[in-house]
Amino acid sequence: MVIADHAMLVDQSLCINCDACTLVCKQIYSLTEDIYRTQIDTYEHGAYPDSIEVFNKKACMHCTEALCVISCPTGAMHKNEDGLTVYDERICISCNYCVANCPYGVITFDRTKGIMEKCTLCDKRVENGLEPFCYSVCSPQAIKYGSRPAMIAAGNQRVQLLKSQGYEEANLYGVDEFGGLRVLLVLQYTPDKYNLPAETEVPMGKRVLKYLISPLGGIAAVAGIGALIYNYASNKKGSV
Amino acid sequence: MKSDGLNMKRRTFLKAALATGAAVGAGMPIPRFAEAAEEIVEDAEAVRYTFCSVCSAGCGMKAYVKNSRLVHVEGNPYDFAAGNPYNPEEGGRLCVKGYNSIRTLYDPDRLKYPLRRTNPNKGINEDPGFERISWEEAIEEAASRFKESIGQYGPESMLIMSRSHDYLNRLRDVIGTPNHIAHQSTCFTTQQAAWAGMVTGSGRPWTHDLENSKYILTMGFDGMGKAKNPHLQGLSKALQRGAKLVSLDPYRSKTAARAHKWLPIRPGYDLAFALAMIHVILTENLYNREFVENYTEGIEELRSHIISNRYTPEWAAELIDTPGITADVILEIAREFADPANQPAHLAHHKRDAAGPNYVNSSSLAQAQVTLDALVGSIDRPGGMILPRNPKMPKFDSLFPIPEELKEQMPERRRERIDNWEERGPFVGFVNGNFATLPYGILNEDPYPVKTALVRKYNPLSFPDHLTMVEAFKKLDFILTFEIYPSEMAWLSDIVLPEPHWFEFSGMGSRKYHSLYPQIHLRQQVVSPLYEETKGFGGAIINLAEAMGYGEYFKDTSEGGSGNVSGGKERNMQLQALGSSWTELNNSATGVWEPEDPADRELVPTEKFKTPSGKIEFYSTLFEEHGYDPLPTWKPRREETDEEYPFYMVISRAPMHKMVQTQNNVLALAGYPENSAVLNKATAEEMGISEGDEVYVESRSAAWMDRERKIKLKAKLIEGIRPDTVMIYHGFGRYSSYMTKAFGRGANDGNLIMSMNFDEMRRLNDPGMGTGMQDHAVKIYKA
Repeated sequence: MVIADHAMLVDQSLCINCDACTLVCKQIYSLTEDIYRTQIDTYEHGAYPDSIEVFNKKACMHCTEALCVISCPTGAMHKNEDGLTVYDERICISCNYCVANCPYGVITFDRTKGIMEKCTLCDKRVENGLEPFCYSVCSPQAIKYGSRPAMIAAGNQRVQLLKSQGYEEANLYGVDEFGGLRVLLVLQYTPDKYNLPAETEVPMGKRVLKYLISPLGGIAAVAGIGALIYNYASNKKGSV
Repeated sequence: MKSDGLNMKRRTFLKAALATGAAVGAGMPIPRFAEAAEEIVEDAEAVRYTFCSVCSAGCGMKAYVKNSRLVHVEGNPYDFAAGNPYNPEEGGRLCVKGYNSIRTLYDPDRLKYPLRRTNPNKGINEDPGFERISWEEAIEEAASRFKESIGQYGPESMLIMSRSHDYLNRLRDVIGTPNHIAHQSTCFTTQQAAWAGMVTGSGRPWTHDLENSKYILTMGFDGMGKAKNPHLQGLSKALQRGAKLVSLDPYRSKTAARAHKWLPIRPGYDLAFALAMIHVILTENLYNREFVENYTEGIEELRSHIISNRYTPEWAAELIDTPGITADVILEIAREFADPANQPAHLAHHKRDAAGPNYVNSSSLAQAQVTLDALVGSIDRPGGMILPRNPKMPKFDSLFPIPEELKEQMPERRRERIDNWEERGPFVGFVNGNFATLPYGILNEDPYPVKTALVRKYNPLSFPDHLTMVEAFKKLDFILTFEIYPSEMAWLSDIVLPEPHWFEFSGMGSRKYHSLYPQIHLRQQVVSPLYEETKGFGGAIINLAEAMGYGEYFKDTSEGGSGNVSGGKERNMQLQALGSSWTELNNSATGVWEPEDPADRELVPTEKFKTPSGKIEFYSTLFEEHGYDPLPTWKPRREETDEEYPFYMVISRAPMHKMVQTQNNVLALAGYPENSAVLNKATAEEMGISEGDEVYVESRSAAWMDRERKIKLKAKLIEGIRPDTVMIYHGFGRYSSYMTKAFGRGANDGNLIMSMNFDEMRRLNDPGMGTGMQDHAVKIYKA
């Protein structure tokens, strides 16, 4: 069943950093060595014995106002009809603006293949009424998947439970950040403890930049052709 | 890991590239497998049922095959370990090790044909110089070497090292050697003993009803990080239902990281904590009266024992001597554990945790844990430890009995074993020996010489005192090893025989881990064997038996010619006893057999336990009868830290690794490539050790075997570990250069563990005598 307005809820309070999602994703999408579409970071805060440890499963959050899309000069990084942030390598010029501008640090340039790697939220599977792989394989079932309102409700429920258990900072992340994220996070502590960005709006300067870039479509097209040639060259040496 | 892909068929790639290329313009490359990958599951040509065999949990799997290749696996939602048969809509999940297992199947380093050693010298630095031989040659040579040694030194001169296996067990009995040894002494003998003595009379349960627990206490049990998938899923479900999780662990394990409270217990002192909890529950009368009165015996003996020994929270806190674990904290945890609002409460324990054979007081801790579970009434009750509910199938020996006239010809088995295990009273029968004393027995020929060994899928790296064990193996005249990998055991062997991967054959298994009602799971052949010369273990044992002149003992079990295991015949006979058949199971839509009547799928709590009294015995009469402490009693560690050796060492493993089985798996290595010495940041800084520095970890010399015991590791500094403890992940330090990806990564913690002589084992007089895998002190210094 294809779910309209679908979203993912990643419950960081249940993640155990086992890497089931990162490795299944890596294997099934044939990612280059050391390249991942999703990874789990570990952060410790405070000194022994009063320290905490948190895990942050990070991947593209599919921001509604996506800085990677805004900063992309060619439209390679763009929004599909479903509102997911997707990438068209045919017109990518490998300028790495998306990498530099992503507030979550989840776009990686794969030099071997000459492409940007990022989570697609398994868009093709989703179109076929299936769920993203990381949801299907998450061993502790820390990842939920469904309609965005349902995910927000489930997330809020978890937050309430965590608060009742003494996690006063528990919060649901992603409802409003960058115009609303398609990947919501249940956090036990404040977002900074997960190395999530303090700034969660597109800065005015970037918005203005976008308007400036748009008329320069012609230049972008020329750059796009350059990108094709570049990609062709990189791909030749980096076939898997 | 050059090509970390699915090794997608070139054709598929071209097809995808061409199709997209047409739209874009000729020559524009679209070298992405994404399009193909999206289709992988829905476009699979076949979905087959099997179960994972990375660990013994045996989680049900759905295997997706495309272009005759296994491309993806998922958990079977109808299987108790991977899913929830009461509610299959929740979906099935595997653990990361199961998902990664595809890459072991396709590992080019796998054994492909029989090998014979050409280098007469054996050792860590001696390349065996393997040559390829035929199966016939291999079996002939192995049979004649075994026969020769048995003829000269007796049947006991042949050592068998393997998990229990019907065909192998029969060959062992026909040969008549008492020396069949398996790994339980490094794993769970202590818990076997406690459960046998107090509840079951025979062994321990494997099912945790974690999801229905409201309060879960763990002692060194990392159910989320290193244990089984059903534990991980159960703990996660319990957390989602609002259960409280408290974890005692010297190191912040994954479970401790997720717990509401992490108590960094002093290694080997969990027993003091548990005894003090019992003290609180008894003196404050917090126990479950209904359960204790109806289902237990010996509460008064327990009470007077605990009180007269003054196992108070103050006593425990003084021993544990750790900031944050005060008498008040122990009191609070005990009260919470017994609080009626928190029932059912569950003291979850598994293997190689504080009550596994990690310490010489682990048996006593296992007794204390059973005691605590019984006090809150959660033994074989929802939310607690559940006793086995295995399908009642006829066993191999009753299906294929040995004819009387052949039985008479079998030699009488000598009682004395090479590991002295025969002295362990009533627990000899259901666990196989002790790794801790094995090297002593072999090297000292005590009580007799052992000359040959048949080994299946064990690795000397997993033994305590690994280097001493290597010396013991070198002393043997002949070693035959069955493996799928050219492991370190293969490295020390004379002949190595290749087995198929479990994705390559069919079968079935009965669910022992985590089943609330009996289930049998189906193993279909997922892919054809990749290497023609691999052969199933049962068949190879029949071949060996025939070559040794024991073919008659296996006549009934064969089918369609010599050496063909009649797996189908045996399975069919077993399933028929349950009113099913192999055909029916093989065609099952769910991949599992289970009782048809819904009433048989309900958990009926046990009313009568298999102890002499029929009740759970706080005071174990079985222990008393055999001269062991009938009640949980404080015992110190085997070895305490001191000025020269100021650190405790604890062993764990990374979630994606299974002991020594997964270091050559490229995905597991991508997740965790090399082990390190994990140290407390402040401690390390005081010692001038920085992140990534090379350090030596060194343990004392054993009383009976003087040798240097030290390993070199890179330091990893964290906050989540006691300042006096070093944690090392197990499974590294591989020296077989045929394991091209695992070779040379990290170091083996087993080099630091001391083995034992028989005198020490006798002196410890422990009913579940294990190896004390982390019961020694170490020193750490910069390399």
